[in-house]
Amino acid sequence: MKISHRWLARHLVNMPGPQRVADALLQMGIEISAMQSWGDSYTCVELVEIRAREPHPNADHLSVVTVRRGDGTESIVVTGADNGFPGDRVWYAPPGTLLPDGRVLQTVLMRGIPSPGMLLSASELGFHDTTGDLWLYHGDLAPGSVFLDAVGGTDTVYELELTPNLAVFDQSVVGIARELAAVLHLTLRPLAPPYKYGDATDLVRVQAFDACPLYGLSAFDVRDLTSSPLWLQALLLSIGVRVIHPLVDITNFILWDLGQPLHAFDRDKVVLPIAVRLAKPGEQLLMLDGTDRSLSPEDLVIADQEGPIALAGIMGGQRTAIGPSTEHVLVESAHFESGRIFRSMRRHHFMSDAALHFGKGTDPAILPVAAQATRELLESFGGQVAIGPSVMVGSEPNLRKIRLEPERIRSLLGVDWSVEVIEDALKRLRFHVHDGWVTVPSNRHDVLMTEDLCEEVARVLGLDAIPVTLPISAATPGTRDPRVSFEERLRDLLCDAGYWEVVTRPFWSSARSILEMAVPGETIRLTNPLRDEEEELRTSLLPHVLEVVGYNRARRDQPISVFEIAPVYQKQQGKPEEIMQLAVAETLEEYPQYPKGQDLGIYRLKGTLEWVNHRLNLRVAESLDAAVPDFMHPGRSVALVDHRRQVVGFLGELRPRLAVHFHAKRIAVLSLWSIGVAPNAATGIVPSPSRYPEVLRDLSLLIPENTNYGTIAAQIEANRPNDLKSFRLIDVFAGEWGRSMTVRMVFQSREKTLTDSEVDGQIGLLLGNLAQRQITIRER
Amino acid sequence: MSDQISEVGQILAQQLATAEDSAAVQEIRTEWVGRRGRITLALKELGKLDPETRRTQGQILNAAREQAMRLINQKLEQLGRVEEDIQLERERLDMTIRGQAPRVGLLHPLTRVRRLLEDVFLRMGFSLAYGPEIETTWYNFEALNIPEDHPARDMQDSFFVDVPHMVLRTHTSPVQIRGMEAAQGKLPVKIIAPGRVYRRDDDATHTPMFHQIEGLVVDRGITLGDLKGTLLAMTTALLGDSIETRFRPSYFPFTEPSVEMDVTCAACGGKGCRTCKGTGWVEILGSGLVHPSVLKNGGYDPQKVSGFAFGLGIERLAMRIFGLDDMRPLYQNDVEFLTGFERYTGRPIL
Ligand SMILES: [Zn+2]
Repeated sequence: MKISHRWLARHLVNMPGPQRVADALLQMGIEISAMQSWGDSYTCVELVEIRAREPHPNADHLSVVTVRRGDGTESIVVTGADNGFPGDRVWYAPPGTLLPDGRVLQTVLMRGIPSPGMLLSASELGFHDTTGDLWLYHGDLAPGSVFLDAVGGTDTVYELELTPNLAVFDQSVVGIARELAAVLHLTLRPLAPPYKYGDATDLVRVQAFDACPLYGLSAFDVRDLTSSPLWLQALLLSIGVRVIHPLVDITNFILWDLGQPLHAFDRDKVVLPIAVRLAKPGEQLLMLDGTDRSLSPEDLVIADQEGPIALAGIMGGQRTAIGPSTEHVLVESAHFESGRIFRSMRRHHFMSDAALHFGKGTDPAILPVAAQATRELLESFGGQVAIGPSVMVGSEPNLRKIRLEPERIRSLLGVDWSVEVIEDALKRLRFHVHDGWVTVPSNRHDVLMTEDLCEEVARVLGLDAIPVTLPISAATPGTRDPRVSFEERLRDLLCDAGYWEVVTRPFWSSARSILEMAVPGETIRLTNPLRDEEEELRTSLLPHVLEVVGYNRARRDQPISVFEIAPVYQKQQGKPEEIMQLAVAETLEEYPQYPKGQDLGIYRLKGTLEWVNHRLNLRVAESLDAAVPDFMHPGRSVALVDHRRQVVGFLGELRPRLAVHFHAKRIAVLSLWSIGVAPNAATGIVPSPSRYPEVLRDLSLLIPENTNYGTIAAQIEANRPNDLKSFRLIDVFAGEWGRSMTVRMVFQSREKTLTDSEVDGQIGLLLGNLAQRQITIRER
Repeated sequence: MSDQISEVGQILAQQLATAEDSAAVQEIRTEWVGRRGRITLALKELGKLDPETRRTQGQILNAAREQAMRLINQKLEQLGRVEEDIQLERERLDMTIRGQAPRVGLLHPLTRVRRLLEDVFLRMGFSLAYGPEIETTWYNFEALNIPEDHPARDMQDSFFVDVPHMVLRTHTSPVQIRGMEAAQGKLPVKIIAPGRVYRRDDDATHTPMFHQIEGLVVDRGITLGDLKGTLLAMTTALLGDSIETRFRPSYFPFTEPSVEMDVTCAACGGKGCRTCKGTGWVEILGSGLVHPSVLKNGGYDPQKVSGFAFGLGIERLAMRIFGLDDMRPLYQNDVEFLTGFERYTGRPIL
């Protein structure tokens, strides 16, 4: 909401400067998002007197006008205006002037005659006037005065951010003035007295008192209203409201001044009496903005004998709209139930300044004040005004009362303020305190209970006045969730292993899919996605991590190793499920560099998984029996199973043809579909190393076709020699004689130094067992 | 006797002096003390002599042998050093070539900031709590005092899913209710709830998914002063002693009174800049005393207990800590951008 400093000053005695205003409003919870000065460009625009006017020699519709400026010099300006003759005073904008529409004036050649700047119409200055093409000035200012003097000088315009609770009562100049008065101990100027409504009960029938507790209607006959006074136009313009016609300007002014929306009907077009009622099903209303609305009984309407003439509190209809020639006016000043207006506004996807006020809640007590202010303004505008019949139907709702609980206020805020201090704070905000009860002002629909009073007291006295303390409660140590801690450990280990954590958003669309994945559950869709490619929630994490690979590879030719641990989403029997997944992706190209890196291919990621598996006791194992998805390299991937032999993921290379989509030749991926907490891997006491020496033996084993290392390892495990400490594959050979694998075996006893013959004996036994599987020692 | 020994020494020394490499020395060794060397053979001949001569001859020969060995070893050692130098010179590497960095990854900056926050609050005795991202409208709205027609439902434009009465949670605040329910009336309730939240916004400072940390304390006699104290302790631990803070009244449907907290703008140090819209302050969190209806919905009696709650945007804080003015790169996962956080230590825990 925009608010003018000068406008605020109309309500406050001893108006403070802009910085104090800003600080005070901040303390009250009103943020100022911008502070701008208004009117600066008007300092260039000068009042001049026309000395001569000649027709333009080369153009019928142009005139050459000589004006005398304030310093006594004369300027010759070309104008297309019909008015402006010797003796008239007009506004002149010399070259360099910035007009409100953004134009910067220069000296231009107009049909052969140079014209420095221009003589202005009212609309070129942003104002409204009816005197003709040029804005003739009839006031007291001397020639040479600048236009800014005519509108009362510059102004400061604040852009306020109102939270919804403050919007209930602060969407007006008087609302903000009251806040300032409370916090800065300022005196408010009195408002207009309430309008003395008549008893023309035949004007209005209110049929929906719940929706419209109070309805005022007053008739005015107006003639010769030309334009609003400059001061009022200037205030409206400063906050960005267009000036149109005195009647419209007055309703806009009162809307922003008092927060009371008014509506003016052309009485000659209304078939009285007016009814305030709920709309009938199927009723139509052609609104002022040109839209046609279908109404329902949930909408409150103002109707005459022919049908709705306004959607109550939101906007009027075209049939009864006022125009420049309107002479008989009905001014509505009403109080509507805010919830109904808000819902109507929502249902019709429709906003107006009136609706933004009524929808938040207005002040029933200000209703007759607004009517009186209308009358006073009309009468001050220089036209002829006659007061017609009027009536107010309904009654002001009772004021809300809350028991004053100073002790509770103190204990909630953590302060030791006396009752007097608390009462004073409330009174400064126009609450009445009497006999242990707080009476809430008629516009404070937001204040319902003691907690709300706490907020008011804290706002007035300032949050800085509340002492800083810490909760006094039992010192219990904070705890972590074991499941989440496990995921965190997994993140740490993957980082340690050289993978970068990424964070992606879970929005997805099957149109983005490059990999075809089977999903056990049903996809969850967003009913209001931001864009088509984000219409569903992901059911798999891997595609997102691969997109990260693609994003990076599209930018630079560098290896990339990334992972994410995050949930995926699905429906099972209609219920949403969130499942934690791990996805890792790594490009496998050799990156040109010196010294040469060691290219381990898929074995780096596989080794990482095995290491993490060991460290965290993930209990994941590879399984050649289970299938891997079709998008995986059939010769370089393996399914992963958990300790119950359920398939929980896969590891391997993507088919190179698919890797190309992510700007890579080969990509290693790991996908774990569900991460559960594994039992702690550490058991018992960590053994100390043996004191006796190790004995190493390298066995080169000839292996049959279709036997893999896993078979050999399993056989060694199954027939594990007593003193075998560990073994590992150290080389693989292939020749005409077949294939061999060299396994380094480390023997060590905890009791003694092993002799060669002891080790030979154990190896002999092992080889005997391996031989049954056609695994033999390779003779050199 | 010593004449003979020194004679051997002289001959040997002359031979060794001309030897140019250890192979030549080995030849000399073979000539004198090898298996068929001159001294070795002479020693073998001793057995044929009478005991007396054998004894004296033996002493001479042994002394000569020792001397020969010593001279040869000396020479070998001397040559060895030279040869080692030659060998190592051949192994010379270009030590100006950059070595290979260890392959280590890095946690995402959002994870690091989240952990930093968790750590601060754990030290203050808060426990970690969690709730679902696909949340019921009851937990996300109604239980938090946000009924169907409440204007606050406009403030946080929600993503709805094709499951009836479910939304992507718009804040971590539903965990307030879940946390109270889990505590089953026990006191104190003292939790923080980190997590992903969703709103229909997408620009430089808003992203449709972001992270929050919710805090909740419910106990007898909790005050607004306690809230201020807790938040100040947090900002000090997080941003240091020199940071300035301020509290402003604000509005949230589930707190009353509601308070927002600002900290000095990191970009300009408080002087005012584009990041802080010229104010010198940036907002980091919203908070307040738990609304009585919310306490009731969590199963607590607002007449007997009170509480405070706060919600903090992790992205906002990350932007504050790392001096970012755009949130979007945090989700683009450009490794070059992420590498930028490699050297950042800031506070020790990061
Ligand atoms: Zn700044």
